Amino acid sequence: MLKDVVSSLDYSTFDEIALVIFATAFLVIIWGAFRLRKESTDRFSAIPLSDLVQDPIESKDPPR
Amino acid sequence: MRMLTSTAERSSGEAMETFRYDDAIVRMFVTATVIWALVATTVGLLVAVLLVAPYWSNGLGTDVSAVLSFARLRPLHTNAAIFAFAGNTIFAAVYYSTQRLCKCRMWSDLLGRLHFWGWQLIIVAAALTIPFGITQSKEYAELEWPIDIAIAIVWLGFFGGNFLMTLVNRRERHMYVALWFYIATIVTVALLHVFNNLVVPVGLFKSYSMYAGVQDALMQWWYGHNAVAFFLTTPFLGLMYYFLPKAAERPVFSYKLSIIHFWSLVFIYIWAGPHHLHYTALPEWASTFGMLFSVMLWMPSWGGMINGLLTLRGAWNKVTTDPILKFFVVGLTFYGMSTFEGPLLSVKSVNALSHYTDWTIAHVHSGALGWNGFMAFGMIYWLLPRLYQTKLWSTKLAEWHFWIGTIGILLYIIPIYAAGITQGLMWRALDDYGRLQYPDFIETVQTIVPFWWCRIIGGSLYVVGVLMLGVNALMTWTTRPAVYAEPTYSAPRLRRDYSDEALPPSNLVGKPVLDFAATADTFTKMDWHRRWERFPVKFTVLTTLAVIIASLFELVPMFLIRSNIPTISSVKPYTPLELAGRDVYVSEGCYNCHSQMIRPMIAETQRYGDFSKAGESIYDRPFQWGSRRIGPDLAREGGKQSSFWHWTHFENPSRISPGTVMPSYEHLLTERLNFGEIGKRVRAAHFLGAPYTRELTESDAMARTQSELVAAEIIAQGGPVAFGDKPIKDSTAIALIAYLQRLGRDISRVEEPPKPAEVVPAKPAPTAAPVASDISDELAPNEKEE
Repeated sequence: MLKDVVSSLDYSTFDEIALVIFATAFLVIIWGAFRLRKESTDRFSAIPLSDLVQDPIESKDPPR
Repeated sequence: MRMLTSTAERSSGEAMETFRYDDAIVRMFVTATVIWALVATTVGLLVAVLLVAPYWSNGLGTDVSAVLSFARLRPLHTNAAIFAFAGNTIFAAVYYSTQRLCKCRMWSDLLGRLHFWGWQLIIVAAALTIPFGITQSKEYAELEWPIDIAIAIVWLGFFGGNFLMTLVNRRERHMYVALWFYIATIVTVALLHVFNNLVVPVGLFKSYSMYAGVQDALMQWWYGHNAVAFFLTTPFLGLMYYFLPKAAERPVFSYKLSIIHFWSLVFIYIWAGPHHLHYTALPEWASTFGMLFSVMLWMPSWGGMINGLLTLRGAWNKVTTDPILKFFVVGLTFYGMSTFEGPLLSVKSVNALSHYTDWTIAHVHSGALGWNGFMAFGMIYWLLPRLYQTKLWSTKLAEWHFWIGTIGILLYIIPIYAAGITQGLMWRALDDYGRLQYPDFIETVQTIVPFWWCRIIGGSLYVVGVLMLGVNALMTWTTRPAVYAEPTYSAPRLRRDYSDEALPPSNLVGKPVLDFAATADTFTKMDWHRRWERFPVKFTVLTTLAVIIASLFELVPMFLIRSNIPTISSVKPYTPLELAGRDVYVSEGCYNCHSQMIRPMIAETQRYGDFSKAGESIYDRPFQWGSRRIGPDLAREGGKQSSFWHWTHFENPSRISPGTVMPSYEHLLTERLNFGEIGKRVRAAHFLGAPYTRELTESDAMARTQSELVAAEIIAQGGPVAFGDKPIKDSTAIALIAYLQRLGRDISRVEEPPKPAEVVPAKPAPTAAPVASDISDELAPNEKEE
């Protein structure tokens, strides 16, 4: 029975289904991304610049 | 293990932890990157030379010249460039940036070392197997199954496990975008690697793919395309999102764009593989599917490029003086160029011209040399003084590297673009009478040889640039301190009771709208995405789901295609000797220069014969459709030439094809075929579906009988009885000739009626030349039974 079901599938619709899934996800992400608050995105985008905060008390090495 | 040296309490009450980064592992990966960059580019230069001067190694003996052939070494070059050079670049970037972005040491020093040495051993294993003909013949997945298992363990167990546990134990609550790209890389590469390399082992160094023909082709290019996507693109984008802001000392231009960039790439890339198979026997829907998604890839790719370049806003003055930024800017520019060209090449009408030509080679190298190479070099120059805690030995030398490398890339790709377009136009050119204007394939090869020489000049410059990097790295290392300082950092442990700051209420609350509108308004403020960015396991699962769902849309129909491939009753499995010959074809890497796929185009059918059908390759494990035509297509080679022609062609191709760039395969004339091994291979093929009967028990005798018949045919056509002191009937070349004479002939085979008991006169050959597959007809009991 499973074989009959699988054999009767119309693969030609896979393109359209895939496109709809992608387009939906893409639009949601775009729409949402542009509504993010600026203070949040500014903070997140600066993370790499603040990743070498050296402990001023414990380390005797020169800051790099 | 983690270096928690002390814990203190801040006035706020947060538990402070101190830690040190493991930079030793980064130093190891950077050193490996520089060494493998030199090896990969030098082998690339070597294969470029072998292409224009295939005979230079002839005087070194047949054993050496067998190894020093273009077809054997080209996969070594691609594997070294991708998995050794780019791979170690990725690991250096991940180990350095992940620790900083997570504000913690890698979870396990031991796993890091196992990862490093395991990966280098895998690369050495590749170097010790591929040149000796031990290969699966799948592009960028040539390594045989024991090495594949090692890759899975090292990649997922050592690297992936260590990375994920580092994320889990991090001290920075928010996972920066670079980490998302690393997550996508790790999970997707693991999936691709495992499913493309499912095989049935025949021995320690030989296996047959679980997939055959069309299915194998689609699976391979699902893997091949996404190896480019998730090994050469996403990790390098992670690298870009971390190291470019560091080098420019500016935050990334748009975090919003990075979110769109990430999810779009993850969603789209995985579907695009079928564009490598346009106009082949792949079903039309899959081909169109690949093209559509490939074209869509252009948008997110350029979004990423623009995000990178605009990160330099206000810092462009630094680019003029800083070679690191120069590398990054040119690298990103090549990324933009390649990701524009990729979608262009995926459009069917463009692909009809470009496929199998050097255009693809130029496209690949603009990405590999420009994007991957230059991003790696920029990162290494930025890292060297920080890792070795000293000044870069020579900024001027780095500057020279940049300019020589840039000129080298241009001198490489421009002639090869010209060569590719020239090839494509010459192959399809018809005269006023509708006949091929250049029917002699060698003429089309000879036209582009000058372009190949130009490539050698460009490639040499690029190698010189890498050598400069090596010198600079070595000299920087010599000025390192006696003992590396290990600075201590501190950061609070992440609180478990953390709650997100409350979002401002929707502007639609209290307005005359449906509640749904207010809910949707809140939803699209992406609070949910910010939460994802704090949960590494959830983020990993979601990324994996995105990749799996996209893959299933491509792969589920692929597995169902089997029932839709029009069965061709006259297509039979290979005889034992032909199967052995096919393995020789695979082992020698013939697919690197010859395709076995005639596209349904007038110029192709005129040149090679009837176009290829899906049902013709159902016993081909792995498929041998190829991706490049340095030599002509061989899909219908059977019967075109006499067996003696092939014998002479292997011995000295230029004797009968003046101007050819095919090297001598004299070693095949002297090597003895191991008849005892054939039985195992026949049984493996039978296990995978080939309907063998008598062959299962009599493969040795059947193979010997057919080899004697092929040898007799060659002798009758004027060939030698023995080569040196060895009879030709036992040579490897005989098996390969038997295979070549079978290619493409089944489809026109006429089913014979049941024969009477008395002896039936031999069939006349359907072509001018007597061929080995006529002999195989006599040997195929299954066919007789039908």
